[in-house]
Amino acid sequence: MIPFRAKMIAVLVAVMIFVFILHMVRRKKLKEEYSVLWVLLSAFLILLASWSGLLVGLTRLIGAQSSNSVIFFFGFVFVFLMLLSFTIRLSKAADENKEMAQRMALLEGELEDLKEGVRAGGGTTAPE
Amino acid sequence: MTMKILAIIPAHNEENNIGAVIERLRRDAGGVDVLVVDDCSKDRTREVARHHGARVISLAVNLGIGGAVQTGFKYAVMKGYDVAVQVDADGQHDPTQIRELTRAIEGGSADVVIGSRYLQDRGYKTPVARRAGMLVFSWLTSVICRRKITDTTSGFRALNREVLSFFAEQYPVDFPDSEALIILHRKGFRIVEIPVTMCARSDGTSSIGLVKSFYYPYRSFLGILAALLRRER
Repeated sequence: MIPFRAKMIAVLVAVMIFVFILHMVRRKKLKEEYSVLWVLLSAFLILLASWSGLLVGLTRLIGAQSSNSVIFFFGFVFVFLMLLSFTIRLSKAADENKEMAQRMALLEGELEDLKEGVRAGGGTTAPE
Repeated sequence: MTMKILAIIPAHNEENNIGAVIERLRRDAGGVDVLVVDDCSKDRTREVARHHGARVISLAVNLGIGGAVQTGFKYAVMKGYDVAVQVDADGQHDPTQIRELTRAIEGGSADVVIGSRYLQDRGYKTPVARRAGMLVFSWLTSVICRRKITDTTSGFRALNREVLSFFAEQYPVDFPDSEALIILHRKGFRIVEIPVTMCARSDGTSSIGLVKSFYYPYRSFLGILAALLRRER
């Protein structure tokens, strides 16, 4: 069995992480959209820390030798998913960035044409 | 009816070449409009190009050659051009051959015309390793497209209105070589190659370094694979 003190510290840390993440979401430092996985993780951490039967049950369920490896396994899976989701979002952001830069460049060109038209003809119509 | 033709020159720090390229285009290409897409150059590319009478569009961030060329496609669509020809800023493409490229499009027998360096031996020299890699990719592309394509990496291409509209929306900006051709083939566009002669580079060196020469084949395979796996939209 896990010593009482260790268990208390684990619960405390898990709760602190949970509160910290909610705090970040509340202060809009972390968008709700991106917080989904983090909130799930910290909630799971609280559960894991306070209810020792969960880890034991989980270990038995997947037939692992030690509960340490179970923690590592799920830890890796989580980190992997997190990195993958970052890469997906990054790809999307890069694409949007490209579209934005292109549209801006085209609009800038149009604007210069308009300005020149106004300067040359005194009218407000675009030169063509 | 004459066709409105746009020459698109993607340029990144090409102040030493761009002026001469624009002048030659205006003199030898037979009345095409010239658009320089300045890909966030740190030198005076923009001013030089404008001074020589080209239309200049400047990107605020460096998008790389693919992203710059796509900006040109979008411009061509916006301004209602019938044909756009991609021309390199280093002066290797001969402007007198632009009309040869656009002829098949004007005749309506092709949607894309590639100026190939290897269709006829016209003395263009490529390092052996790179040539070997190119042969693999042109073979692969030819098999997939069921049509002989000798020069997948040529940057000297003419595109008609339909292809321009398509590429304005989606273009493989990172490595627009074999991948672009395969996407076009799968969309049912007709690709035609004609032989071209290259001029010597007037200034600077090729953009392909050591790291890229390993990364390129890997990335291209991945691109082709992705293009093949993607469902028709």
